[in-house]
Amino acid sequence: MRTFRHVYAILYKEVVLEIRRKHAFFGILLFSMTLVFLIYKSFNQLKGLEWDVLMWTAVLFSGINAIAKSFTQEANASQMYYYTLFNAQEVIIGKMIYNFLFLVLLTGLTYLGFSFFLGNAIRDFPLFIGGALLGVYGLSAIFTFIASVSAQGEGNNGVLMSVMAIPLTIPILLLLIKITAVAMGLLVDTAVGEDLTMLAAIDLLLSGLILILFEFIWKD
Amino acid sequence: MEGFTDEPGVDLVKPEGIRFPYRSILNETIRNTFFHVALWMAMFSLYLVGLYHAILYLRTSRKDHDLWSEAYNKAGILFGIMGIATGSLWARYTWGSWWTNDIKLNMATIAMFIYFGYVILRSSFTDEEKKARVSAVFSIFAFVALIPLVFVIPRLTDSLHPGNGGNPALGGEDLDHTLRLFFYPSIIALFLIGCWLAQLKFRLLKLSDRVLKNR
Repeated sequence: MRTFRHVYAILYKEVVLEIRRKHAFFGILLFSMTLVFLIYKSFNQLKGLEWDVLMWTAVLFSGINAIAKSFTQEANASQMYYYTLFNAQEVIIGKMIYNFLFLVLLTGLTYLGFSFFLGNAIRDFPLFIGGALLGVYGLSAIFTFIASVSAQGEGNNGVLMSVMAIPLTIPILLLLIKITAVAMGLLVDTAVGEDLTMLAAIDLLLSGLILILFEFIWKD
Repeated sequence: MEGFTDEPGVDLVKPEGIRFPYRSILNETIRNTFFHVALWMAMFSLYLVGLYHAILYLRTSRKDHDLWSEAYNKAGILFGIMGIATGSLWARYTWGSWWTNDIKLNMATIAMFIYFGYVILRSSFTDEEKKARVSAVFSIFAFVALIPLVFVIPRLTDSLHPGNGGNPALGGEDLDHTLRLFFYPSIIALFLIGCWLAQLKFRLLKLSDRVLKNR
């Protein structure tokens, strides 16, 4: 029970922080909308695999930008204060849940932007939503963990974050693109359930690993 | 494709009793097995040793383990580059191009990018203890994230590369027993060369550490 309360407290703190710092939140939204508009104006019309790939690429880049600040936005003193209150697992679970919710919101908005400008291409919604939730969870877990790693480095965090996170996200992104292609009716794949299982397995693997390893990062 | 014949090019393979599957697309390039395949296996073993030292570092916080981990991972990166180079050469002769849009090749490249990320991460610290701890954590994370990349995803998709999409690799028809005679020792030999390189690197790191401290 205590763990739940602590996780909830961290989640609550993140949400309150986000609401109080509207500029960061709207900054990311504006970034993702600008990206969608840039894609729309460069192609004018877009369908099939390009729609799919560009949507997930837009999510990837706005997600990296959004989550990179996750461990650097607060002063060292307040990090120290959390260190005395919570243990490492509680902190990372809270942050991961928060970043997951944020990335789901961002994905939803990117999808709406794509549908608005370029037309909706998704036919099988349950499959798309299921795949997207699994994939977005994996992406947010990787981003959160790498943000905590790169926050330890000195200076130039943005580059370090992308260099480490993007290669790690590639398997998830490829599976997401494939599942979305099936949901768009571009591919007929009877084994799409296998891809979903695969995503879930990667998610589980990453979560377990992060829960074990974050303790060593949090020591500081 | 021709079947399995025992008639290699007339005077290219002289030694008595040494034979190999003389297939139309492979021909003499089968020799690359000793380098390409063995290099990847040696690379993976080197990364495993690097992983082992990273875990030990997190458990004991002894600086030597961090240096060993760095040395082994860097030797692994070198072997990875050579593995890609020999593979590319092989692809040129058997598939007709230096690079193909093949899942296994591209996943292996991503694996390389992840380890390059490790090198960049290491170079971004000035505090030694922090550098050791964070890069140990990242190298464990990277290694485990590699497993679906290199071993699982390629097996689910169609691929030209042996060992994927139903293509056999090192199976009964691919590798003659007389080739095994060279193939297995070459894995061991390359792994030992990697260990030798890693211990040179380790000693270099250790010495430069001492020089910096005495200054």
